[in-house]
Amino acid sequence: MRHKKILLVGTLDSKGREVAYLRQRVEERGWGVITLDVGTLSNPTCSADISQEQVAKAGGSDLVQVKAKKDRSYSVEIMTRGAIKKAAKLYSRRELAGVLSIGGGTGTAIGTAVMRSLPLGLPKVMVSTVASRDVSRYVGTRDITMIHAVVDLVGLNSITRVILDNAAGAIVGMAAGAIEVTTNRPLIAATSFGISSISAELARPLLDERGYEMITFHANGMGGRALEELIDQGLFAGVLDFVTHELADQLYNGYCGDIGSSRLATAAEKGVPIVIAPGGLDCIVFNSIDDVPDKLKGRKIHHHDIRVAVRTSEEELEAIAMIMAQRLTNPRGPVGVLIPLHGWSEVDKAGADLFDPTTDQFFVDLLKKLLPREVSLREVKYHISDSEFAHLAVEWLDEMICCRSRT
Amino acid sequence: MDKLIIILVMAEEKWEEADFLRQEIESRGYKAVILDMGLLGKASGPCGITREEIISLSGRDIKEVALITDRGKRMPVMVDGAIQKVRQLHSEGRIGGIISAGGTTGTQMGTSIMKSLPFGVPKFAVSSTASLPAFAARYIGTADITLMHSVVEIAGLNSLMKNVLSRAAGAICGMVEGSAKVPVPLLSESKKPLIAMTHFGPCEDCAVNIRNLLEKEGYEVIGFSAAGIGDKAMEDIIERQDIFRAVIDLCPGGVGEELLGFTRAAGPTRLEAAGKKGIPQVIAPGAVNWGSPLKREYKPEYSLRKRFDYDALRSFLKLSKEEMITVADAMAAKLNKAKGPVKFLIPLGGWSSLDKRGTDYYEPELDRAFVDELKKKLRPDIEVKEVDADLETPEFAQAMVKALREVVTA
Repeated sequence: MRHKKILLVGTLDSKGREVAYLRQRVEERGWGVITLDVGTLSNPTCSADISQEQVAKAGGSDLVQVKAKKDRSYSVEIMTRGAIKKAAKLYSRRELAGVLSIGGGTGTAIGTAVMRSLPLGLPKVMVSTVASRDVSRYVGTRDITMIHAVVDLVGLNSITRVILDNAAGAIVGMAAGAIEVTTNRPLIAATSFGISSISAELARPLLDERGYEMITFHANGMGGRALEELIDQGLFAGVLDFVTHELADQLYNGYCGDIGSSRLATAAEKGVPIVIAPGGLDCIVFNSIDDVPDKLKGRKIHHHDIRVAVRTSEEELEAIAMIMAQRLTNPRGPVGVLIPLHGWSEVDKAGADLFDPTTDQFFVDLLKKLLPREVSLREVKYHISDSEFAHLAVEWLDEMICCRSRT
Repeated sequence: MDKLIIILVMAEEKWEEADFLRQEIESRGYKAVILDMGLLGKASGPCGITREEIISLSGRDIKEVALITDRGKRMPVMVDGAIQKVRQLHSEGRIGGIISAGGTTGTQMGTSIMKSLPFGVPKFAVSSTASLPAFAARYIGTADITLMHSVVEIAGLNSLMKNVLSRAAGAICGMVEGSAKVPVPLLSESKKPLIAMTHFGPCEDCAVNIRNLLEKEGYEVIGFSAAGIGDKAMEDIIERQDIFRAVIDLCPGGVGEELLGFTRAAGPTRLEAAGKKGIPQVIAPGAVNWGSPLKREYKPEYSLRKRFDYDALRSFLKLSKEEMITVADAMAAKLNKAKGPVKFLIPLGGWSSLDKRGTDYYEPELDRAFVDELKKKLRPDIEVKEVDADLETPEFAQAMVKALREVVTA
């Protein structure tokens, strides 16, 4: 039996039979299992390696008190906190090969909270009856795999067995022989977005030549959040934030709307070298023409597919410049802003739908005034998709990183 | 293992990632083949199933398709062709599982293709947009699709991407192995006949009672949540696969929710699949007298209705008399088309744990309007049986099970 085991999280009162079955199916494939019971309603129907009592205690309460309170949200909170602590301990002892969980609405909330607390790369599989809904609050920015239960998880039957066997197969398959996240080369994060993805593509071979490895994030709201979190975890030696478009969408809750408040701020806070470009700040994207607010109607518009891009005005760019300047105050590391004067996306270049150099220049002039002294801004006479632009960005970032490592 | 794992990918952009997936799968002892569902340009490496083959299977002329430069218009061509291909391979018994890797477009196309394969065939999508609000619902729908969030953009084989793809390869292989061990039983092969049953929180006691009784009689009961997706999934599975001996539609509220535009809407064809296939069914009006409109869409007149706050997220409103009649009418029209035996049982003492006789929410005159309309509109050979108990009592569950025995032997 391997030293590392699969952590199996569930409410063993209501889902005991399913958990016992899962355990058996994982063990048959040669992996040990640690069951962790987050149920509080009644007694578990199968044995738990980490009991309700232990979880409640780790969560800062005790089971008798949790049960007596009869407050569902309180017990969920305590059991979630306790489960996260127990999982963290197992992980730090290098005993975890993966996390598997099963549940309905509540079980999914607890199971995915445990998974979100563990680092990228550790296999995470959630069997859920609510997988086919908005899972953004369950999965968030993490590498969680959701298995849609399709049927209700009440009782073992020929259909639930198929789903549970898939889950056991999936977690074991993921845990066995997965390539670990290891690299000898320093990692550089880059952002990319449909209409502004060429700079990242051009940067990749340039970074390779210099001995870096580039990881791209899709700046679609969730991608930007994941980027900030992984910068915070210390994964990257530098950041090429070509596409800051999410800041524009956020103003009107557009396609990439919900980006959180840390976008753009983490690298500066952590002292990770970063080069920022205004990729995609020329437009706000909406899911469809019907979603365009009245206020923006009559502006220049570009039809992408069913999604539409509406030109940003001086008003929005002023708001964005202020947000940028504010998020880059007191940087702990080198921060550079590189502005391509010939346009910021595929739809903002000579002859394209949203080309408007005058408005772009208004933003640049304002940003120069607002940015803190420590942040340098360079204007270059290229379009963001020109290979010269990618060269300059990579060169600048490389300089920042090399200077740092020398000092 | 001679069965294939199909890798769905747009090979002009993501061939490198697909080929890595292929190698990872093959290193685990399975065969894999790349199916190119690419839209523009050309594949950046060799694909076992080429886009040319896919286009020709779609029935369109390859030269004509080459002229379509709009990605949106190319998508249905590639999806249609790929569906032809995977269905053909599946009918030959050659598909072990199917996996896709992509962003929004790739996942949208990939999952549409997966949905053409029956429940039980392992389906896995690695997507950079798995976690965006509302996207998972669109990708998965009612299918048994597993969705993995790649976190990083699927663009270039960097060390994070390799880790993600390697785990995805492990997962699909593990699932293929699992589904070989525990296959979906066919009706003709299963030892215990399977009964599909709809569930809903306020009717849970009844569901448990029925389940216990049926299990004693040697049936196996498969529950589907009547929240608008599970019940729709039940309809899809009944329509496409011969698994169930009979259906107990305890909570068919998705019909009314659909008509009235509420949140548990289960599509325009809810309550039709079993009838279409001639599968025996027993229906009850579990919580059909309650509606779940979005709170921000409450109309002023709703303040006059009885309202039950079920939990922090869910509130139910009693349907009006007119609405009850509309729903009865629609249900009768659907059931009248049934090719198999149907019985409709009515509990006179309330239709859920919320509106039992004796509570403020018990409004027999509203329930009666439904029953009268139903009886008026249903085919005469479809029995409407009234039971003098509330839905959550053992008596009512017993009556449901007795009716099931009758329709199954009819």
